[in-house]
Amino acid sequence: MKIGSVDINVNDPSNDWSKWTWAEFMDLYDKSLKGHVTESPETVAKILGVKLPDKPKEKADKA
Amino acid sequence: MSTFKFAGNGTAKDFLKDMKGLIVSLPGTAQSFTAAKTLAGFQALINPATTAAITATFLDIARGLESKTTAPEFITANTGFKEKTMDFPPEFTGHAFMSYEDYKTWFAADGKSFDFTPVLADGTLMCAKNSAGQQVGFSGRMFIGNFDLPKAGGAEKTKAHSFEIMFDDVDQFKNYVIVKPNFTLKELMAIVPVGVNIEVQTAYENSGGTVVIKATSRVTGEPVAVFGTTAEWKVISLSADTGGACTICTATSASLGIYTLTFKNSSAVLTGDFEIQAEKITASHVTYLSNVLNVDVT
Repeated sequence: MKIGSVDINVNDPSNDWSKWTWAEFMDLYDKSLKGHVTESPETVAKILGVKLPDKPKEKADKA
Repeated sequence: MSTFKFAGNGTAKDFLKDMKGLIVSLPGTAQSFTAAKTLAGFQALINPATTAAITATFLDIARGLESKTTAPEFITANTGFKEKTMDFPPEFTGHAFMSYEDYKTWFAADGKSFDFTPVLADGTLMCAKNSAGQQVGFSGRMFIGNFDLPKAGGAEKTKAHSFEIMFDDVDQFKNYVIVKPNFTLKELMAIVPVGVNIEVQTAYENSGGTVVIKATSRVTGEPVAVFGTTAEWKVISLSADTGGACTICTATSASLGIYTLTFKNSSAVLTGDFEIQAEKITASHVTYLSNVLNVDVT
């Protein structure tokens, strides 16, 4: 999958992007993609099918 | 061999044309004789749609060949009776028309077995036939003839890239088949993928799994800018990991022949040396093919 001049492998049968943890993906993003793509980690992750990190739960308003 | 019968004399008395090269194929590579007459038949072997499917290439020996075939053995009995007791399979030294960088890519083939189909000057193929009636090359072995220092000038210089070819079975030659294909020698040469050199420019970085590779034309060193996708970087072998592939290919500097590649085993970095090769597929044919490069992991 091409993003500008960067190609990310989405055809490797041994690599299931949905099994990557967010920490693993961010490590890849920081070391291989940052500075080469303008898309945010969340945008790239969504395209690849990497599970996004859980949003922190909002505290219930006190009545 | 067919039954001997007197078969007449042709009106033309020409020799077979000189041998100009060899199709070198993996042992047992076979195709129908119908396919062997067509360029498409050899494209399926020499530049198919994937590198994994490549089973043959063309070796140009335009710089000359020297026959080393042992003369048949004749024994004279103590009665004076003389007879032939042995035929020997052909062997020769071929001097390849290639660069020293092309030659180096053959070093790993030293002593290996291949099938060889001689290609004559007019494009005629000298073939063997297997038991299924298919076209095959003559089985034999290849030895690299020169691991020496560069040759001095003159005629010796042209012998710098030599191959010793030793055929295994003289019976295959007793049954040789001449195929007159519908393509020329030049057309056959042109289907061989363009050889490219790849080298490590920045070593494998084992926290992120990136390595910077430079791809250049052989000898001239001109940058090669055609390997811009992960699919074009193949992992050939791994020394320590159970899997591995090019995960990311950054081709921002491809015009300089420079590619930043991330190689991983799923999400893990590779822990041992691995070998890679770059390939370019155009219109379902391998058109560019690099050397196999060992990437050190320290």
